[in-house]
Amino acid sequence: MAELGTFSLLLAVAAAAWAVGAAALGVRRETFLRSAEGALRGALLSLTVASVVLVALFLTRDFSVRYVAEYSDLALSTPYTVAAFWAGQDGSLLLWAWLLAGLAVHTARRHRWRDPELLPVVVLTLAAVLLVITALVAFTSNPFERLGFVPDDGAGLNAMLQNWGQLYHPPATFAGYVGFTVPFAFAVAALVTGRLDDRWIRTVRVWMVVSWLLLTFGILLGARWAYTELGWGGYWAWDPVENASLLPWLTATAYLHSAVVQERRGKLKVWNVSLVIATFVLTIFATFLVRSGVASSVHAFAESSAGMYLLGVVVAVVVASALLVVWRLPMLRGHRDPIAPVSREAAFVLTNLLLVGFTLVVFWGTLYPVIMSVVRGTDVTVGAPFFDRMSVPFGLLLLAVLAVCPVVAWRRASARGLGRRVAVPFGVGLVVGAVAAVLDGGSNVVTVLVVSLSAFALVTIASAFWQALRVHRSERATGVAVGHLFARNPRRWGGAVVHLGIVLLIVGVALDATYRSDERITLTVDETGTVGGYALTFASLDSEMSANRAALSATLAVAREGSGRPLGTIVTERSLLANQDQPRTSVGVRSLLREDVYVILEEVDVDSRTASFNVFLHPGVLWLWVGGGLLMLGGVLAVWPYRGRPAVGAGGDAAAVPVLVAPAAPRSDDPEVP
Amino acid sequence: MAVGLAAALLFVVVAVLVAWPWVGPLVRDGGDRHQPDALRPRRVDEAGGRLGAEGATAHLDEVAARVSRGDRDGEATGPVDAGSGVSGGDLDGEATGPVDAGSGVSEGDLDGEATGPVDGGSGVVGGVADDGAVGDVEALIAARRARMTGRVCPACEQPRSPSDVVCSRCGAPLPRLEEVAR
Repeated sequence: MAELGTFSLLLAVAAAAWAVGAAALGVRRETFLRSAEGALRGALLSLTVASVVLVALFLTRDFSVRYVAEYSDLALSTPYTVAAFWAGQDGSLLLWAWLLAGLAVHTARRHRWRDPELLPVVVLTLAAVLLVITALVAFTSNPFERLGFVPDDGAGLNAMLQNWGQLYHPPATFAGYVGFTVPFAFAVAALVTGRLDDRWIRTVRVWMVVSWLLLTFGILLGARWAYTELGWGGYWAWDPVENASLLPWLTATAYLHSAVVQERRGKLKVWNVSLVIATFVLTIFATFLVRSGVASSVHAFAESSAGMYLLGVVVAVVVASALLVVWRLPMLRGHRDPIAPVSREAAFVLTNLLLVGFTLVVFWGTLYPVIMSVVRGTDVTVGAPFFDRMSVPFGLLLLAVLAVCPVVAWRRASARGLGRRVAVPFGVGLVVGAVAAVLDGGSNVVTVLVVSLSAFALVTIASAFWQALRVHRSERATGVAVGHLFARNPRRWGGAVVHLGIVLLIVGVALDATYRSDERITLTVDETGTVGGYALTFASLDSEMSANRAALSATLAVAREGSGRPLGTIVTERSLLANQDQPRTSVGVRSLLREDVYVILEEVDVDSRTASFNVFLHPGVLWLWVGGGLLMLGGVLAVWPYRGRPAVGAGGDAAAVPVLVAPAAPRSDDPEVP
Repeated sequence: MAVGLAAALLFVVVAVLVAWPWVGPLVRDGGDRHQPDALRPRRVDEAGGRLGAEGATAHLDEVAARVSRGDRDGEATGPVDAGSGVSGGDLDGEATGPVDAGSGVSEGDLDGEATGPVDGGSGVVGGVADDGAVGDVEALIAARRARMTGRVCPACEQPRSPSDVVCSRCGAPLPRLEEVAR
């Protein structure tokens, strides 16, 4: 069966190659373009067959196949056996290729009639990227390669990967990466064809937001996984591979802001096209970083020889894209009227500069050890302290801009009017900041500033929402009015929810970074210990032995110290999986509004039924996840296809929306104006 | 054997997909290949409201003009912006060119945002932003109507009574209401 997989891969390479050639000819002859689309469908079919074959090889435990033998064993449970598909490079790249093929087919179909001028180059670009990835899988990372002998059992899946996160985090992250290929293809098509008006920007908006959503989802899942699995370094450790996923996220976020300026004001054209290209390049770079092993990472299990190949792709894309942009520079000039310093556009530009500036900082911090290693031959480590220190000013400034942005008018806002609109939110921020400073004792200025600015931002967002809602409530019930508001301007209010999520996320991280504490306690079963206002009772010690694993798990009952109010139970576990040398520790977490009680089982004496626990108190972490959830919700709301939403102005009925009834000048056909 | 058959079948299917633009018309229409299949009006009719992008506009305008205002995905398409009656904004509810350019909603765009003419001296400077601009705009309309109907002094906008002949605030001469109405 493995041979069918290899054949399917080679067929996919051939189909992708045909698609590239046919799409190039399709610029002039439509029949060839249709053939290219057919070839993409053929590639998708071939890669689907290859993927099904690989899953079947895993499920049938065909250890004669190297990849199956390396990433599974007889004891592995079925869900993780399926998830072993993307546990290593070969399968990950196959997943990437399959997702890309699916996306390419969908894009060609969806945009066949909407963007016929751009479609040939879009298909050509997508096919070219697909060719690169499928060739990489087929010729350097073939997951169907035979070993030449059949081992009795496989090496098994890395213990740290046997977590629910492995089921969802890699596919979501990959889907995000792959999604950014479509905006890139449209950017290239716009540059090649010279159709650099706003049309392509509007076309890629949904793709950009959906890809951003998927990447956000992937990053959040990874953070949650790292938080609950010891060894990954907590929800964010500034690991090079984590940073690599953050880089395209930052540039995509910047683009989502600057694209609005181009749509509304016809500015930032070069900037926008560059951001789309940079985002795509950074996704390839992220894969290069994971696969090459050039940076020391907790994700180092995925290293391989494909890194240099991917680096070559990055260089080629950067050079080709730069040449395209330079060629089209005269057409990319926007309107010449300058951006007023106090305006929504200026706030968006500032947001962009901060996001891109932070991207450069993270990029430099991630690559610096690699550069030093290559240039000087010395091992240098750039750790979390550097990134933490650098992220503070960027985070504070972004919060400040986020707080002011919703109340700044487009084009030009008067400083006096702006001052009037921010007065109340700013005042609330000051009061909250003062209270935070008193509670803190004044030793953590940055955290106090974060809390103060967050309050400022929250009140701004809430007041903007309330003002808009008030207008709609005058005509309909509140619940309907909220729905109407989102349906009428999904991007604006979806964005507001995203901003709300960002604020909560930053507050959560700041509180945890500042006020987290830990204490080690040793308890015997039924004994109670106290940590930071919580009473932890060691309720039970259980053991489990099976063919797959041996585990010891401790259950603790959590209650409020003093009142004794029960707050739930925590289960933490140490286990040793079959075919694995290292024991694995699963963290027990009880999330409370104020803080997380986070318990690690350190040592166990089974005879005396005594165990040592490391108990961490993580304040505000719940807000990090709530914020993450709001990020997702806001993104979904922003692109939700509101069927039957108020068709603003449809059919020429401008009076359908109250705000439209004000004429700029008296019109003879206005019945109310003589 | 089974693997070989599966591989052969896969190859044939992929080959047919790739060659379909040439093979398909022969199979379905007996060789009528003069017009690209998907551009035929028949397909346009089938697709109905889904079409609306520029490539099919010519057909749509003739065959299915009802969808030329935008497609079913809520995307504004060329004809929408080009003046089909929704030039006040696209189907996303976003202001489009004609809005800012003074098509009748230049007091504020479809976001309720202040736009150029508002800041540029239409009388609602400073107090405008986002949906808060609604009140200001309505006040502006009321003021304009008052001016147009002669209920205020044309110089200083002080309200007047019909019998006044000079403004009680600035002393400017006031036109008679019958003259204003004419």
